[in-house]
Amino acid sequence: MARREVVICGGGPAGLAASIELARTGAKVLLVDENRRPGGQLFKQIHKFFGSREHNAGVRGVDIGKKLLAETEALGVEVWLNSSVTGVFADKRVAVLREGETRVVEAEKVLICTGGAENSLNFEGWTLPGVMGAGAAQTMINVNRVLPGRRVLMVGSGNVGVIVTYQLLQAGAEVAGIVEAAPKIGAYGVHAAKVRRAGVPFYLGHTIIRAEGSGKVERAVIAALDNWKPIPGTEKEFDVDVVCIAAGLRPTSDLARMCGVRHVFVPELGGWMPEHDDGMETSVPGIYVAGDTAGVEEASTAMDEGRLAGIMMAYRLGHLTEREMREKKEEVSGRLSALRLGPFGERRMNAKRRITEGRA
Amino acid sequence: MSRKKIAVIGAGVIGCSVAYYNAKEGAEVTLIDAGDIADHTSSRCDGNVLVSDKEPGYDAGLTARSQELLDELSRELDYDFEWERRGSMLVMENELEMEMGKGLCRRFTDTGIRCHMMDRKELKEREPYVADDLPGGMWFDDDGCLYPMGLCYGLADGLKRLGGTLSLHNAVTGIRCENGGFVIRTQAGEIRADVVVNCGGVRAPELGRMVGLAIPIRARQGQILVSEQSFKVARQKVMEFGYMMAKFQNGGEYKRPVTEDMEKYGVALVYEPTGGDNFLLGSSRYFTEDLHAEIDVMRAIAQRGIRFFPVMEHIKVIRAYAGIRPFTPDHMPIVSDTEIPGYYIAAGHEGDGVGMSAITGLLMSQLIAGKKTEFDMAPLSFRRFLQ
Amino acid sequence: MTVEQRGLVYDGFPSFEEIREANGRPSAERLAKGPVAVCECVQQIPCNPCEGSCMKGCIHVGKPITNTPRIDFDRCVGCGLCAAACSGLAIFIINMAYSETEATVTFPFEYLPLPEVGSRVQALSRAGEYVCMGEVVRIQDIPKNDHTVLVTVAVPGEFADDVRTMKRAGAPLLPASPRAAEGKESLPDDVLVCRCEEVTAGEIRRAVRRYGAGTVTEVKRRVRAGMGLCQGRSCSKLTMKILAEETGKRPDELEPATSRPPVRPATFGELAKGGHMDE
Repeated sequence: MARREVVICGGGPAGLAASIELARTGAKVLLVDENRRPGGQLFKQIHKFFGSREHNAGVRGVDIGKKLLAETEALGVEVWLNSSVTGVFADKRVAVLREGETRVVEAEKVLICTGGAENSLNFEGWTLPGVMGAGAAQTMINVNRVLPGRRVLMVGSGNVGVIVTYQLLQAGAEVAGIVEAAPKIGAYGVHAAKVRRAGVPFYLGHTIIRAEGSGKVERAVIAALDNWKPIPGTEKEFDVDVVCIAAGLRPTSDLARMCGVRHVFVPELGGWMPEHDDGMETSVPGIYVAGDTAGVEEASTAMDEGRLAGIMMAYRLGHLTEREMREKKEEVSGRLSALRLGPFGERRMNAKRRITEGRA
Repeated sequence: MSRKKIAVIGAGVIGCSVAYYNAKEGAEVTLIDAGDIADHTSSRCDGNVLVSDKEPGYDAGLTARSQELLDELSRELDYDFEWERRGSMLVMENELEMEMGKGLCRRFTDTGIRCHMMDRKELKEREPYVADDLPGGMWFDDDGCLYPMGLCYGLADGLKRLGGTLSLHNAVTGIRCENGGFVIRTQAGEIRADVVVNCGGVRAPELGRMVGLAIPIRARQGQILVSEQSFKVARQKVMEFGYMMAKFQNGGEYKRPVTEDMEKYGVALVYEPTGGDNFLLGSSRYFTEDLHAEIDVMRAIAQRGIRFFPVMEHIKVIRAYAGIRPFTPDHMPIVSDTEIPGYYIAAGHEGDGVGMSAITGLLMSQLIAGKKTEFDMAPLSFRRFLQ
Repeated sequence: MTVEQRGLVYDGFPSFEEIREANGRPSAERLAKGPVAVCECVQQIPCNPCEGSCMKGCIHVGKPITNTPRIDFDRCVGCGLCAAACSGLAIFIINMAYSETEATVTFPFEYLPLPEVGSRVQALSRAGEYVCMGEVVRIQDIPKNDHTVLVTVAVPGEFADDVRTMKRAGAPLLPASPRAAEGKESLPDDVLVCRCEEVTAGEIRRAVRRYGAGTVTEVKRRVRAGMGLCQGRSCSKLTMKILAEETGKRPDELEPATSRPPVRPATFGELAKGGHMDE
């Protein structure tokens, strides 16, 4: 039987950070990721991150990814790439699809940090080629270096929608506008200001009602909303070949649900998500969550949640003394609190507090 | 005379059928379930209605009659439950199984079942994707499959059209006998009935205890893998002959050439194409109430599938599910009255619930109406366990 | 849109009032003296690289790091380090003393190709609208700035407060405005919801109305929505939305369907091989 002290499902920012914390204490860790290199969404993030100066602020996501990778390599973390965790079964046995076979690894602790998934949006013509998630478009331009189309309509003015709009412009596409159902722009203002000064209009209080075209997107129609219902007669039509949907993310927690982790509905963090304590452990002892799986936030919070989970697992496995654990936990928790300050982070901070105090 | 009030507890395929046939018989039926229609075993199963996996004689006869009833139901219910009689086949893994199969085949034909042995050539002609080394199989002309949840929805819809009542998401918490009838305590209040039919499946013992009956039903789990939509690996139900042995545990001296896990979990090939161009691949049987699929069982089922259909190797599995089935010590269901007048049991069909649902419903309606039943009820009687 | 709905979250760029309140503005006397940084970071976001970028220590964020930056304009020399360090590209350098009639505006620019020094470019406002023509007088593209290039454009002095960027190469000449079109109000019955199993919104509504489905699982069993290759990963939220409309349930009353292995499709062969590895 293959045994590891910890199996980490997902090698994004949370998983990498957790593996580093664990490996530093000498724990035997296996990090599993289904891509050909780890880093998760970090390698798509070509913009500079916010945050505090001590903590990667001003560094582009892609470079943070490189740094974390170098660190895992230096620490000798065992990494299985091109490998998918297909199930977590009783007694923390993790099934991994790897090199054409399903291997079973027995773990003492399992960290599930499989990220988030983009929400879809239903409208006439949403199944036409050319309608895609904003994250998918971002992968195309920043990872695969392929332009999804010439002229894009972005639906959703949250950070993802606005950042991807900026990157589409950088990649040479035109963005006809950003459509937002709410009466206000959702993204950080500085991101919005970047695309606005590049000439991209915002259509607030509007939604997409259909995409049209023969065999592919050729046009998109939006309408103004009154009490979340389209107002007849306000329709506007754009000639576009791509419609990007940035309708938010939700935690990907299939693996956690499979092993019976209690879930709670927290709108501020993307809806249904695994309940967890302030050390990232779920209702199933030994199963931990971090990053977007533990509530959709940002790469910077994902890294610190991963570190936190790593510290707590290392402590439970006997690789850290209680005092070491407390010191480290305090430091990381303090940073997490700082990242959740301000009007943007406050709702998430409160939501997280509700969850860890069992009030969600 | 006023209409008889019947409360059917359990809206799985057995309960839906019992409710429907009793309503057809003119009774005032309420179908009660703690959850949705087909919430438990009937949504975690396959859809076979087969003679080929029964013992020749009485069991096979019940199923054959069930098949006729399904022909009728598919016409009278306003719901397409995908009932199709494409036949079924057993495949043999070696010459020894062929020999044992010949004996079984004779016993079937002697009782009027349309079936015959196939040599390797006929087997390959019917199903080109079977493994080349299989010596042959047995063909059953009249067997079929359906979409189990669809049958339940169709029967429940039919019940409503006959004036019956559905009381779903309403758990029964107690049953009390009163003035020759019953008062059923539920989350939503009390329901009065002249007759109670316990169609609780794996939960039948719980409903039995409420009136002091000890019903010897245990949960036996079965797991199934679902494929992606693909070409037809086989056109109809295909089972390995050894399935009969896994099911009845009566292979005698014969041991199938299988792995330890397959033996441990009772894994045998059961292939079923669905109406949606996927296929279901089973099967396993072991005692647990766990509703989670287990990786070791999933692996053994996949291995067994590839053994008989090598082409499956490259087809994708999209999910695995586990259902727990009501097992009785002698593998026969309980379709019976009890020593408590007016309290009936229709449960314990294990993997034959879908296949025997229609005949169970019909027999129960005849029994409750005091009519002559189409079959001798002794082998299905609850009393057989009271010795 | 009403008059009071002005500002960053409505327009996509901050108003002068917002900037003055959050970051302050250099006085006319200070502007007249030469290059100075102006910050247009008006929201409380957890970010402070600007603070550390200033060699003279004249940008203050402090604690908590969500404070908006304040620049000590009198000590600022307009060196531009902060403009390149800002993750939000929200700091600019204004030099009103560039010449008698012209001022320069230095802004961060992350588009290729870069303009050439001496070229005439269209100077644009915070809203991306044409303000005036300008001349590129300086390009700072240094490795330390990690691809955030500082472009300095000379424009007539009176536009220094309006110009915040330049037209990038390849941008459309005029932002095309949309046409009026005729629409429909609600999601039609024939719109697909589950792509894998090709289940429409109408079929889902029928499962609810006629066959009593009240949860995602109950819809799935009745009409197969979510039973296909992706196992509902794309459509379960959409199904929930229709269910919420039809049944009046709140989102927290609608749970996703059961999660079953394998969470990624694996072939029967891949499942058959492997197992517990001995080491």
